[in-house]
Order: sequence, then structure tokens, then C-alpha cells
Amino acid sequence: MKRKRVSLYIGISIIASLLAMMVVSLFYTPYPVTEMNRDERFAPPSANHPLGTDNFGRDVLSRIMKGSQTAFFVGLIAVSVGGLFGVLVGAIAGYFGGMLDEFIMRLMDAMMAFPGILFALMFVSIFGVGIRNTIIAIGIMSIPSFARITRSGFIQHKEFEYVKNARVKGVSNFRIMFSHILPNVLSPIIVAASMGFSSAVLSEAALSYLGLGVQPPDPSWGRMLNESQVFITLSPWYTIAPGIFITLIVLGFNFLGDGIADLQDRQQ
Amino acid sequence: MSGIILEVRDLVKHYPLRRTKLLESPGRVRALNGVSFAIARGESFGLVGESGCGKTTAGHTIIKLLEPTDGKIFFEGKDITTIKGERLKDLRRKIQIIFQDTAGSLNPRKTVKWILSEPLRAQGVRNRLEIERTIRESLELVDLDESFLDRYPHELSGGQKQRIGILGALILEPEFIIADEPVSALDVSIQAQILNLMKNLQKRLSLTYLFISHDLGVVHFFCDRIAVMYLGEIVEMAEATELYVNPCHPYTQSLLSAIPGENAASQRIILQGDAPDPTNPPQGCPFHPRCFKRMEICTHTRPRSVEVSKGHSVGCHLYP
Repeated sequence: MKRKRVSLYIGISIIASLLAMMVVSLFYTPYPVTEMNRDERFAPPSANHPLGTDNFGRDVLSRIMKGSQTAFFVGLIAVSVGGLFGVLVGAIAGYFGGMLDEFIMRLMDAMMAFPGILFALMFVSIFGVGIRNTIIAIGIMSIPSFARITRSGFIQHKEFEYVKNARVKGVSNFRIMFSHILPNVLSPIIVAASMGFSSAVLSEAALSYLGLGVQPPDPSWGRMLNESQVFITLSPWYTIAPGIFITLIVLGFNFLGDGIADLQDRQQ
Repeated sequence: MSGIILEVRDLVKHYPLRRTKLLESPGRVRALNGVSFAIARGESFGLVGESGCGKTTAGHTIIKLLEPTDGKIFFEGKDITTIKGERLKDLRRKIQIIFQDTAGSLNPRKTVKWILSEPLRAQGVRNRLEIERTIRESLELVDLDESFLDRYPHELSGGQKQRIGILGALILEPEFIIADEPVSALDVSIQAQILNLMKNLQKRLSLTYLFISHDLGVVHFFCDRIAVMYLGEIVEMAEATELYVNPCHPYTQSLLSAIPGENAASQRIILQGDAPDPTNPPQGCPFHPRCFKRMEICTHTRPRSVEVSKGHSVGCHLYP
């Protein structure tokens, strides 16, 4: 019994510490994130610079902290966009069924079949490089997974008698969908949101690594990975630091999602 | 107060099966095959039959959860078979249903208060105080008090859930209530309570019931008139006492013999086999494969419904 909660606790502690770091970075970083120092390039980790410095002598810890803002911001907005549209579309498909369902879900299949990074590349090259378009692209990419999960919940629940009961009372379809059914199918959607968060962070890192996401001099973990790889033999810690944090946040949200799913399984 | 409140004429409901082969037309489940009856204002009309005979489909079709394939439904003399939109919403105030699955008909994530106020909100009552007052006043109808308002369905017992279900149907002050197996999920002791409650409510609020059940004993206790359904058709219809004393159709006879205790003297009739597949009903009389009084004619000719005495009709070749 107790063992199962481990992933929930690990997830919560990782995400909570990263969130705390993000909040601190809003007010304080050890050094200004864009301050360069020619005398201290490629400094190894020390008391002054716990994670060393980069090729411009900037403090890596400060940039990691600042980069967490990007990660959380991108994750939050992308998941909100994807979740909002995904749930809406999935609810309509599942509740009304028939040709509409068929049409929507084939559209979702087409979106899923299209490689995410390729779509983001295309989107960004059409609408321009930058954090805003990156977020939109990532958000759109995550719509199908939300739509599928929501749809399956709605298909199951629309046959339940409480839904028939609401119809018999004259409740409108819109209200049945979002006021009656949605609260009952919310839990798998929350798990999907947690998983979606981690993949959004990963996508942002990948796009920034390719130079399509966050633009310099703003720090982003993916971007730092990109900038550091040239110097990987010279100062490996510069590469390792953002790598570890990307891994941590992805792991954290996956653990969290798993933990929530376990919790629900046991409640049922 | 008399007169016909609801009439159903030749109601047919077929569910198409999923198409499995491109060129063959898919089969269909014949849930209702031309069901006709009329219910007088103020009476309790029972619809009895085994699982899968189409009685729930009949109820759901009348309350317009399902579209009938054919036939007509009249309520207070008006054809309601195809009404939609605002008129359908108005009809919701007059016809209500108590569902079979007591627990499932209450939204598990909502409080009793929310569940009871939702019908009022759906019917356009916006004033929160008015909703609150209506609910508080109506709780007394089903012998519950205000302490139940903040509970969730899983915090209620089976009987309490059913009371909430009944109140949910009553809160719009309907005239006609379809009770779809309202007590079959309850303990026997609670069954009697709920049935008595429903009877009292009928007197106080001058309700008309369509009572759907598989239990002829319960129906006999509760109803004035009874129709027995088999495989989507009404095989026998009579006053409750008449049906009880003088059952004509072999299927009714077998159902009556299954009521424990009362008919101890008479022989228990045990039917052979299961109910036939409604996608592929037998030729002739639908009951003939299981009938213990089967004749040659039953295998190829459908019996017509005949009146054996006043108000007592039966569809069987034994009564030409």
C-alpha cells in the first residue's frame, strides 16, 4: 500500500523544489544573468560559482535559475492551451459521437501522426522564431492527447443514468457536458496534464537547442545545452548542469503523473 | 380527473447493429414490436416482463430519451412523438422518470442539494432563494430532512438514494411518472417503504404512474392495470386482479406461478430455454419455442390480440 505512494512523493518533492527555485529567481539570483566576466570564463564549480561559469564568464547557477522560469512558463501555457482545446474538442467528439466524432478524431490522428518537432519547426519558420510561437506550437501539439482522453471518458459517461437523468430534466447539452460529465472525468485529464507538462518542457528544450525557442541572451535550459556542447571537452559541467535540470523536471512531472494515477486507481 | 393521459400506438423501436460486412445490411435488435396501450389519468399502469423484453426501452422512448422507429405517442391528446426544443423542455415538466439504477442516476460528484436544484435551474428558475425554498419544502414529501442536502450520493443508503431520485423527478411537479424498476435494487424491507411512499405521493399529488418491473408480485401490489410484455410485444393486458385470478397467456401463467408463497397450491411452471435472440425473433408466436401449450399453428402464424372479457386482452392462439 505505502510503496505505491513513493512516486507521488518523489514527484511532489522534485517539482516543489524546482518551483521554489523558480520563485526565488524572480527576486534574486546570485549574479545578474547576463553579466559577463572575461576573467572567469569556464570556471569550474567553486564556492563563488557553485555550477561554474560559461564561455562568457556568466554564472551558470544564475542562468539555470532564470531558465526555470522559461521552463515553467512554457509548460504552464502550453498545457493550458492544449488542455483547453483538447478537452473541448474531445468532449464534443465523445458526447455527440457519429460523424462529428469521426471527423474530429481523424483530424486528431492526423495531428498525432505528424512528428511534433517537425510541426513546431514548420510553425516557427512560418510565424517567426520566438518564445511565443514556440509555446503555441507546443500547445497545439498536445491537443490530440487531451482530446483522446477526454473523449473516452465522455463516451463512457454519456451512457450513465445520471446523464440520462439530466437530459430528462431538460438540462442543455452544453451544461451536461461541462457541468455534469466533466467533473467526473477530470482525474485522467489531470494525469495527462502532468505528463503533458513534462513533454512541453522537453519540447521547449529541444526547440531552444535547435535555436528556435528562447532567443539569446535570455537563458533557457535547452539553449544552454546548445551553447555548451562546443565546449563539452573543455568544461563538461557547463553541459551537465542544464542536462541534469531538464532531466529532473521531466522526471518530476512524470513521477507526479504516475503518483496521481496510482492514487486514483486505489480510490476506485 | 379521468380520461386518457398517455397513449402509445404501435410503438416500434429497432436498434441497428453495427455494420460488420460492407455489402450485407446489418441486423437490428427488435426491442419494441408494435406496443400499444393507453393510461388513464390517476391510475398506475404496470409493464411486466423479463430482462430484455423491451420494457425499459418502452419507458425511455416515451420520455424521449430514445427516438421511436415507428408509432405514435400522445400525451394529453397531443402527439409528442417528434417534438423538440422548447416544447420538449416544457414536456419535461409534465413527464418524469425514476431510474432503474438508483445509485447511477445521481451524479457522484455533486451534493444532494445541487442534484435537486439542477432540474429547477434547467427549467429556467434563476432565483437562488426560490430554488432553496422549493427544495427545503419538498424534502418532506419523501420523509427526508435538511441534513441530507450537503451529502454526496455515496454517503446515502440505497433507500435514501431512491428517495432523492424520486424527489428529483417530483420537484418539477409532473403529472405523469415513469418508474423504471424503482425498487428492484433495494432490500425487500426497503422496497415496501418506497412503494408505500410512492402510493401516498400518488394520492397527495394526483400522479399517474407507468410502473415498469420484472416482478409481477410487486406490480400486482402497486398497479391498477397490468400489461405483460414478451420480446417487444404486449402479450396480455388486464386489470390487476383479473390478471392475477384469471391469467390467460401461458407466459403470464408461468410468471404468476413464480411468485413465492401465494400460489403454493398450484404447480410451479418452469419455462425451458432462454428468451430468444431479439435480433432474430422466432417465426409465428414469439413465445412458442418456450411455450408449454404449444400447438402447430403457433410455429407459423402470429396470434392477434383478442378481448377475452371486458378490458382483458390476450394475444394467444388458445383464444381464437
